[in-house]
Amino acid sequence: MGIEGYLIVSTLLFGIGAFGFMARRNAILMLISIELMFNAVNLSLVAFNAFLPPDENAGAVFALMIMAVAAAEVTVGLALVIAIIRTRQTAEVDQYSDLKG
Amino acid sequence: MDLLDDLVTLLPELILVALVLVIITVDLFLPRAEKWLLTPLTVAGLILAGAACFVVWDINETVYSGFYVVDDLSVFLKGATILTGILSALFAPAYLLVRRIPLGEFNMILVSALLGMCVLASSSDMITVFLGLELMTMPSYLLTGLHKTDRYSNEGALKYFLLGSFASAIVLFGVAWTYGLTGTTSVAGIASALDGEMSAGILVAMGFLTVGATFKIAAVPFHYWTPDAYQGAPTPITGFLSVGPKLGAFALLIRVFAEALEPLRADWLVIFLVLTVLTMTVGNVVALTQVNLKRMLAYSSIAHTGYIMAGLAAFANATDPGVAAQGIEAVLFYILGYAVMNIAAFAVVGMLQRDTTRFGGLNSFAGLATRAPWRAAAMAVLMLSLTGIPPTVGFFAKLYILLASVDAGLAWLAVIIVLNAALAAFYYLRVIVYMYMRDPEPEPAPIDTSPFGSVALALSVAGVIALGIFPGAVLRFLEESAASLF
Repeated sequence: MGIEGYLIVSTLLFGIGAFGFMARRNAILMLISIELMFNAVNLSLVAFNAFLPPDENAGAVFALMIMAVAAAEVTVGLALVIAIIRTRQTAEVDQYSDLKG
Repeated sequence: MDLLDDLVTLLPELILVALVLVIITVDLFLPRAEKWLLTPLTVAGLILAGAACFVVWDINETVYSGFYVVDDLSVFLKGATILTGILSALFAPAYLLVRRIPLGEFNMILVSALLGMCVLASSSDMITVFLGLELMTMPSYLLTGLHKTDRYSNEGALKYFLLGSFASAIVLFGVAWTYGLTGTTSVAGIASALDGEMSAGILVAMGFLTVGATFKIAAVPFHYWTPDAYQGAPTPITGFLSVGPKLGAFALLIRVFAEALEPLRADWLVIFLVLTVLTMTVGNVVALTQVNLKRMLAYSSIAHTGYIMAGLAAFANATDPGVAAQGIEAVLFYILGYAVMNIAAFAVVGMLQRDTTRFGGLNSFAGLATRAPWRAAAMAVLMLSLTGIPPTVGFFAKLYILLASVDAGLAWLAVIIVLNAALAAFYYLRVIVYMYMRDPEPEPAPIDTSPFGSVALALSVAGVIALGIFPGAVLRFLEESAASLF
């Protein structure tokens, strides 16, 4: 299989993640959608790395870095979701409308 | 260069890392009544890191196999970053302590964010760009939500987090495709691989990078999170958020667009011009209608983003390297001046929120001149500076942007900037009118007069006026910084 297959899957995943982020109104599901987008990027990076001239492994290293950072991002995100559920008893973002103007 | 020599070039960053660890440790052993000691500790550490910037000035080397560059541009941005850190660390404690927000966590997260900005300023590889960006934004989300029991703080933080991570993912997608098309993640490598060639793939990658980056600097039409995050965050922290992450995001723009995508600058210039005009106009028009001062300053900070972007547009449109350098110098000077005046302006708003139950509206400024003449005078200077009236730093900042735009052949852009500045004068001067021409409210809210905040305010106002009278003092630094790009 050529690189095209990987890139199509990666783009599809990214698109699904982006769609989920915009369509879903639950903070945790939005967080999951963002993770999907990050992983789509990882897939494309690893695919590029495998098919490009193999003089260095920048793509694979980058993918590893993204995994670590994405894990940290989830931690921060869940902490913020827990904090807001404590004051509002809901994870639906449409209910978070105190700030506007 | 061997590994140990490379370490010396990282001196400011190493000091920041050590400072984070020291703050965490000291915080453990301090009894509650002595937590305020963390502020002088943090400030001392930051001053040390600032001094270290002078050690690494003029080194101009790429270290760690091309992943990290210590050039004058990055050192200048680090210096400005650390300055914002010092001011924030001094302004915040009074506000935080009344609300029982732990000072140790604040200082530690603040210094982590500063570290991220320093990494971002020095990155010469897309991997370091990404790491720096995340190390800067994740502490920013936490700082926004630091007031855990406050509904507004929670809401602002979550909105900031969701849209910020979404933007990060979009930036990453653009970076991944740039890597795929050029075969390298190095900034210099991308620039030489592109070499002015335009293809559909590059256009898509650049589009993703532009959308993600404009999210981060809060340019219209990707600014929706800004007013909410800024209003929700504890006020002195808002001052930091409106400056620090923006400074970092502009470092990202310079590294990615002015360096990596420099061969394609004629292509991104078009998008930038549209975004620049939209950003300043929308920011100013919406700011006019705001009654909440934090929200007003949030929209005004969007407008200032537009002015800074005009400097980058001047860089991209210039045919002569000297004029292009002038654009970058204008950007750097504006960032520096804006950092000082905006942090201080938000801090004054915070000082009027000593009473946690009261709302910090424009009315709380009514008659401030009779209640607290020095603070009112300081706020007046800051508002004049944000408007761009001499002799303040805001005037020269705008002047440099205007000169750079005109020299780069964008005279029409300069006209739009001037019109926008006139529009902005209306809402900035309204604050001065409230302070000097209205009577105080019947039961005015108490004013915070903590020594740290007062010292920082005096320093910022002195800086705003000093740079407004002698802007040449930083000229040499600006010129050498911009020169490291060419």
